[in-house]
Amino acid sequence: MIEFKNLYKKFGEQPVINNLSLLIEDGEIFFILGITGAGKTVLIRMLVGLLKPDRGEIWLDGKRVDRMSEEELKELRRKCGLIFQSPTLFDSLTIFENIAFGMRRHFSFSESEISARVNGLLELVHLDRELSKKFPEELSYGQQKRVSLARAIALEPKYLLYDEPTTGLDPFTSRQISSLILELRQKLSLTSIVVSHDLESMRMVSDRVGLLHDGDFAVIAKPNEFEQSGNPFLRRFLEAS
Amino acid sequence: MQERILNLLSLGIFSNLGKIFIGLMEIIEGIGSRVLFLWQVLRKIVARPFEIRELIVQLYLVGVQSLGIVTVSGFFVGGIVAIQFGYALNMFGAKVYLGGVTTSGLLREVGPVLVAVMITGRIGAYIAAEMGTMKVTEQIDALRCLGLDPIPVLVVPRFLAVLLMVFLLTIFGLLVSLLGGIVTSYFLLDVNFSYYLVNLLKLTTMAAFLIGIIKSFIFGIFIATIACFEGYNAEPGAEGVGRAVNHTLVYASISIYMVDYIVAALVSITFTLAQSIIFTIGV
Repeated sequence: MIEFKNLYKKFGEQPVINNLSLLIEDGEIFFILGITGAGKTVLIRMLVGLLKPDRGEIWLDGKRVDRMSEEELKELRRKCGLIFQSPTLFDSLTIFENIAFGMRRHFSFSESEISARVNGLLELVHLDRELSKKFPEELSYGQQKRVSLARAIALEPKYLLYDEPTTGLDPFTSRQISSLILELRQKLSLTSIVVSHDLESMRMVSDRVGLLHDGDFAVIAKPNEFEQSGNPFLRRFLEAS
Repeated sequence: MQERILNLLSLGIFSNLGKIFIGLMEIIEGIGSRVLFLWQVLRKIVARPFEIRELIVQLYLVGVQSLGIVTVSGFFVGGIVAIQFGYALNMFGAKVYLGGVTTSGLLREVGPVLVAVMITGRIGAYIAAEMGTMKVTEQIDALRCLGLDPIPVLVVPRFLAVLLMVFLLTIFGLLVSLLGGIVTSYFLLDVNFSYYLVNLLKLTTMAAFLIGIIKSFIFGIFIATIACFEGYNAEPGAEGVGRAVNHTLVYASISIYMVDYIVAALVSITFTLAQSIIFTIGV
């Protein structure tokens, strides 16, 4: 379970997150919508301790994240995978080494076990095993995003945080990634937060949706109720999309 | 009016003093943050699991791939030093001492400094650019999100590789420069091999060799710390990476010359003191 309590974060004089509270249940896919600069990415970065809130509390499985030391955060990040907006693959390593990177350092698998697991993960994200010998630059953007997903789930996380997973992808690949988010939840029982402004993806994957505006959620609802809401900012957001 | 001018003048002086003070504080802060970074790296050298695979890769990139450049520059540096000393010694009819004088100069000063400067350009810039790119493309954050600490995983192997390879490449570069000196002396300055070698062994002390080696170790610490620090703390964007590389080259080069100066001065003072003590005791 993830909980944000009265969270506040500002950059310069500008508050980006302003008294935000939210509870996400286990197994849920919570979708965060919002315009660029609304603070969506800031929120998930605070959840994994890459940014510290100025005020408020962040709880994950009963542990307070915002007071964790760097050592405690290392443990938290293992069970809370973050998939960045850009694939952020290690460009000097092959796809195989990228996926095996965390595994080699956290588990004591033999080489053959690592190899089997990497192949299994590639299959899970619908990529050809042959790609494992290639370098990130030899893959398409969509394929790189899948590899970064495979690298995150290689550590067997309980939570997955997707930062704009469909941004920069064509509609067909976007739909594939959205299907993959659903599939991973089903197969791995993951709790997910998806940050995006892709309405199509929101309709496809979310259990609940929150619209972030002026540092707090203007609306939180189930997807079918969400679009019926009379919130004026949501109306403008939907009309513009 | 006069009062107003005086006020303005005094404000100008205070403003300039303030700027100098702020500048000094920034320099102290810069040195302090690099020292803290070095301390952080040193503390994590023993962290487990040790990144042996990454260290081997970096040793190859830093060491093996620098052999060519160190060989070529070392050979020519040895030759240049021999030519310069050759002309000077010839004026006093002391060309036979060329081997000893050239080698001593190479071991103490020119060799370690030039190898260190070459490695700063070849390796320091490479490490700063690589780590800077990793920083600005969020690869370092991605590493953190895999539950890993970037210092032992990324920085420590690079730091150790630079430290070890500056040391080994300096020894290698010195040997090549000696060869450059011998070849140049024989073909251009008409100094016999045997004369060269006899005087080399007679005038070159173990102390000269040790001073060169100690210097190379200190240079290695500076190059490794500065390159890793600048890359690890690169500002966002291509400009940030460019600045990291530029800072590495400038700061590491300045550090090399400063360390060389300080070590030379310390050795000179120690030597003078030792001489005066011996003289006093002898008297």
